Formats: sequence, structure tokens, C-alpha cells
Amino acid sequence: MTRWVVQLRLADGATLEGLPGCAGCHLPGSVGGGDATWDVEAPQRPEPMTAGAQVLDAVALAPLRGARVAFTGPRIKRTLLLRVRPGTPLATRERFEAELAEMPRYITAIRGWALSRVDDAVAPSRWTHVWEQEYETVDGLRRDYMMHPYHWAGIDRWFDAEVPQSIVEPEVAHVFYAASGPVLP
Amino acid sequence: MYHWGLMDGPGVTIVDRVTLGAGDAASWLGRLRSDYAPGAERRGMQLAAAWWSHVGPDAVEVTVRWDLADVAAFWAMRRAAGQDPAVLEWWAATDALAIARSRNVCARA
Repeated sequence: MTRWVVQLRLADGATLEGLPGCAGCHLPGSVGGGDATWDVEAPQRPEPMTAGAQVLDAVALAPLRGARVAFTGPRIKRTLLLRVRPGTPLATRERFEAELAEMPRYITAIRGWALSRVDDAVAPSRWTHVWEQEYETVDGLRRDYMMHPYHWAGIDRWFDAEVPQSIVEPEVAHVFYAASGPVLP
Repeated sequence: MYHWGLMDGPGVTIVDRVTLGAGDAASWLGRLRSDYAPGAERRGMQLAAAWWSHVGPDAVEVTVRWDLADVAAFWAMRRAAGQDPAVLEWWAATDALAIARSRNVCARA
């Protein structure tokens, strides 16, 4: 069984109710994705059996690392889809992955997280990595995550095209939605 | 963990270090001021200071410090830089000339 992160385009009046897994319309501030994210496990590329929902992008995940702090109730599920530049040496890519996976140690508002490579063998994709988190509130993402110096003075150097050692393509998808319960495994 | 003065807020400083041939440093610094700095200032980066140091018989390291008001200004700068192709053109031209280059983003200690 493969875990998928699916970007959906929604027609007017489309509903996400009844979809297996978890799904939600993107909240303001999301960029680069569709109208909604659908997190689901499926043996093959999932198709939403609901009127008005169209798959824009279905990304198959090959998990690297993850953890979660158990809590109940609603949460914010955030997904970052990114592409490491072709030709980036494996050792550099692995260092990037290791540093990214240390973010929850510094940013305790991250309650659950998963870092995955994209499984191109299952579904070719323009993305190479998927970085997912859960927060108790949107402030955890907008304030704690975005404002922590481990992020902006550290991790961001992998993303900032003005930094010569950056390896991530500028185009990313940063999307988040309100979920009623746990999303990440 | 990080600590910063509550009165000052976190503050953001960016330090660029560019090592150039000794004969290239002055002209590059002049172009930095005339070509790159105006756009950088529109993006919220204030050119605070620049220094140079001979790091070899034929090489000079130029160090440039930029200050930003706060973390929100940093992210606004990042968004604006990403939408301006002149930014990457500037660094591509610099990298064609530079022996070495780095950028560090720093939180106020």
C-alpha cells in the first residue's frame, strides 16, 4: 500500500465528504498547489469518486523519517512539495534531508511530521520530496514554524536561490488545511 | 535554543562574502552599490556596511552586511527576490567572476 498526497481542483459545489483518508480545502496562505489536498493510502494512483473533484497531481511517497506526538482533535495538516535540482550529489541531498528532519527538535509546535522522497517508480512526479507536518493550530505553522531561526537562518539556505549552496528549485507547493483528526501515520 | 533581546526583537542580518581577483574587487563592489543594492533596498535589505580583506597575493574577500527589520521582512524579501529575475542574473554574473562566495543569514545574538 502506498501513501499518496493528492492535489485536487474543485468545481463549484464539489464536496470532499466521503473520500477515504483525509482531505481539506486549502487555507489562505497556501501557494503552488490546487484547491485541496487529499491524503490517502491506495495501492495505485487514487481517483476521487466525488463529483467536481479533479486530480491535478498525485504524489506517491517513499517515507524516510517521521514521528508524532499523540494528541486528539482538530489540527492543521501542512504539506510542502519540493524539487531538489537534478545533479545534486547524493551526499548533499542526504545532508539536506537530515537537517530538514531535525526541524521538529527545534520547533516543538510540529506535533507530527513525515519526510518522504517521491516514489517515481510508482508515479513519476515533478517533485522529489514531500515534507509534511501537523500542528495543533495554524499559529504553529505561521508563527512557530516560520519565525524560528532554525528555519529562516538555517534550513532556508537550501531553498534560497541567492545562496550559492541552495539545492531546491524555487517553485514549491506549500499547502495546508484544517483536519478533524490525525492525518499522518 | 536561541535567545535574543526582547527589546530588540529577533532582527535579521545577512552577510555576503565574495572572494574575487584583486583587480576585480573594487569594480564589483561599485556594481553591487549601483546595480544590486537599490533593488535589495526595495526588498527590505539595508546595506549596513562593506569591507574587504586581502586573502592572498591576488585575491580579495569582500564582506557585505545587510540588515532587515525582522523575520517578516526577511520572508517578504525572499518572496520579492524570487519574483525578480534580475536577482539571479546578478549572482550568475558574480559567480562567473568570483573565486568563492557564501551567504549567511544570521539571527541577532
